[in-house]
Amino acid sequence: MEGYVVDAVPGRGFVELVLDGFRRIRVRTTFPVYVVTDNPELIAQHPSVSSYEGEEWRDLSGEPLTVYRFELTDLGAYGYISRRAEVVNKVPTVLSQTLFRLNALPFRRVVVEGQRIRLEGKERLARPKVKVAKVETYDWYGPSPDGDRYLAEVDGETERGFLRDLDLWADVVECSGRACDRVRASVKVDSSRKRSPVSIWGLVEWSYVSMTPLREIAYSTIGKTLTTNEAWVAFRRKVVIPDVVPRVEKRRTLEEVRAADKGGLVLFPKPGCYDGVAQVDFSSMYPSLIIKYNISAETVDACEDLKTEIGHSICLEERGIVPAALEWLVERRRELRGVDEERSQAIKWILVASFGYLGYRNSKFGKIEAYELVTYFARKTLRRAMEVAREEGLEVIHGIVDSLFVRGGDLDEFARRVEEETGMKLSVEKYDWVVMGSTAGGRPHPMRYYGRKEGGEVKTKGVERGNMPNLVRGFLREFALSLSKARDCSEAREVLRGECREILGAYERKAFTGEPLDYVLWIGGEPYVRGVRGFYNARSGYRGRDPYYYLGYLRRTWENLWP
Amino acid sequence: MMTGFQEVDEVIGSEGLVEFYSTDGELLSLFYHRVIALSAPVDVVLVGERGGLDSLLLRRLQRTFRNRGEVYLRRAFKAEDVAPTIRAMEGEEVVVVDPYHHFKGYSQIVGAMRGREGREFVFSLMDRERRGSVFGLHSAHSIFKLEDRGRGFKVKLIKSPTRGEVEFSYGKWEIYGRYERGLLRWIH
Repeated sequence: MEGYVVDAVPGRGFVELVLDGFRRIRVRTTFPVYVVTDNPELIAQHPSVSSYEGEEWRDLSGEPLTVYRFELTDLGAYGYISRRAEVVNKVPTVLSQTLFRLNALPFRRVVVEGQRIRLEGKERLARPKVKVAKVETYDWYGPSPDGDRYLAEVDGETERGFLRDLDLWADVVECSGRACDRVRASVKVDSSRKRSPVSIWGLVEWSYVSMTPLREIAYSTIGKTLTTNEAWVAFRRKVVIPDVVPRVEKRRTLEEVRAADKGGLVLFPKPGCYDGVAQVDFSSMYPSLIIKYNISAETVDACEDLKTEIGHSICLEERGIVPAALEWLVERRRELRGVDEERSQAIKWILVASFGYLGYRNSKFGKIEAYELVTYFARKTLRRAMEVAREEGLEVIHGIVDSLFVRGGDLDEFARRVEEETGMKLSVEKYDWVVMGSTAGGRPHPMRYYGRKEGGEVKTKGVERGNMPNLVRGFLREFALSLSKARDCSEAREVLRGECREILGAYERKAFTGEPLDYVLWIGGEPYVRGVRGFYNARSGYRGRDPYYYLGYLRRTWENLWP
Repeated sequence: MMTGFQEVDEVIGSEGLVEFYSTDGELLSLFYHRVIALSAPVDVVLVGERGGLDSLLLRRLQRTFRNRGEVYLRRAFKAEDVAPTIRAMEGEEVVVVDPYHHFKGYSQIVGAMRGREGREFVFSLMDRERRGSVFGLHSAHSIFKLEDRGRGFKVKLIKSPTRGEVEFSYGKWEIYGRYERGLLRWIH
């Protein structure tokens, strides 16, 4: 039998592989559990332990350590043992480790011949040939677990209809509310329990890269996916990962902490419209810095191969666990770009989290000094890029952590020099014009800007927020569409005074005459409408709106659009 | 280490482990900033995910008290970090801020404080009446409770091997090193 591994269900002495098309096959196996103990014989007395073996591993600081691998016939014994003994390397999960040994990794094509499994690893970038669907139910205000209507996306096709008519099957389905009861799938992912920002194909990708069954990561955070990737590196190197890794911060003076514990560099641009601007982005800056400088908990302050001004040093003797794990993720994202944006975005999320997670208290592979080093190198890199820009005669308009807005001068030479000097890849995006936004008080707002890219599309950042009423969001979308006609700042100004004003007028009227859906705004996953007596939950039904609230909201938004 | 309040310092004397607790985070924070500023050079262990020490306020107080001694810092972000961080502090005198922040690992934390040689001032936000009960009571030589009283505050002696229950009242402005209310008298 051959096909893609969609799921795996452990049993007593076997694991049942679920292949695409609901096909199932049992493969005999035991389940490995790693324990640090002085008395392995005692644990071996558990009836589910079939055998055990001592292995030479090392701890995070590099000290050798004997770890016992117990082979269990039944995963039910895992909980019993982990409550009574020091089980280490719980991540990757026991099931993932079992599948790894069997060559039956999630969403890879396998050939099962008797009890042997062969991995067919030729299609690294193509989507696994499994049927993946997403079904959402809707009510008048938007997505709702109690809605009567559904919207389904299956293999790129969209279907709509009444829930009672829904008849869908797929290997993997993301669903919510009542829709989950009406679909058949090997793995169902309940949208309401998801804690990650990625789509269902993104979750499939996470399952693929972390070599963990989808069922085990469907409701986990990005951090767990990242940790699993790092833990695989540790596992291959036979490094013991305890359940909790206590960290002791270096003793420093208050001034030293103040100098080191900073974020990325953010400039405050002068509000206004600028013609002929280029946005120069460092691609995956933080992960690239982690890789470039070998930043990982076990490499920071381990020796003094590379000293820094903030008092931390980095050891370059051995590749750190974090950079080793990120290296292939960065590479995979690069390969997926242009091939599959949905899965590329899923990898991007892991990379985005990789830096913050270095400083997260519960991170197994991070520590605060490593976090501080990343921001230190990020500030240094951006400052150097600004110096090069000035040397090449470019005007720096704005800078946000890993991105610079520049104009004039020799852009190509600037990009070439920065890439050469920093060793990092740049992506350059040209704009016909860019508006740097301001706060309501007229001060610069570093995170609010919009502009027309070469080709006509208007890109906005920090203008539209997730908790804005649909009415305001609709206005902003039309506003951006209208501005896409302007080729420079003076035309943008004209469009703003003319067409955009008319759009505003239309939306101001809509504040009084709109549909109920126009007045909905989402806060903390709940739909609200502002009525004359204040906000009320839209789930309880539409009970009117306060048009003046929406009118005021629109006008405030409008006033902040042009500094 | 000292609080700079003569009566309180007299009670403390040279005791090894002294705890100050309060349910008023703002008051406790002001108080330990003063203690750190006066006691520098001193080691400080900050427990919590973020914040805990206002460097500007600390520098201001150090200027007021004309003490330019260094403040050495270690932060313990999670419960399991607290005990090893306290043990790792080499200084003779250590200020521990909010050690029971995570509401777990009490035995290890108290054990780490007892196991250290030298003096420790502990500033805890734990409400002993409600959830702290008797934890660490036997380990601390003196325990004080800080209570907000509007423009002033009270330092109540809860436990001492040498004194009975007693309380001292001070004005809030005294925390900043002022000895009278100044312009505030015209506002209230």
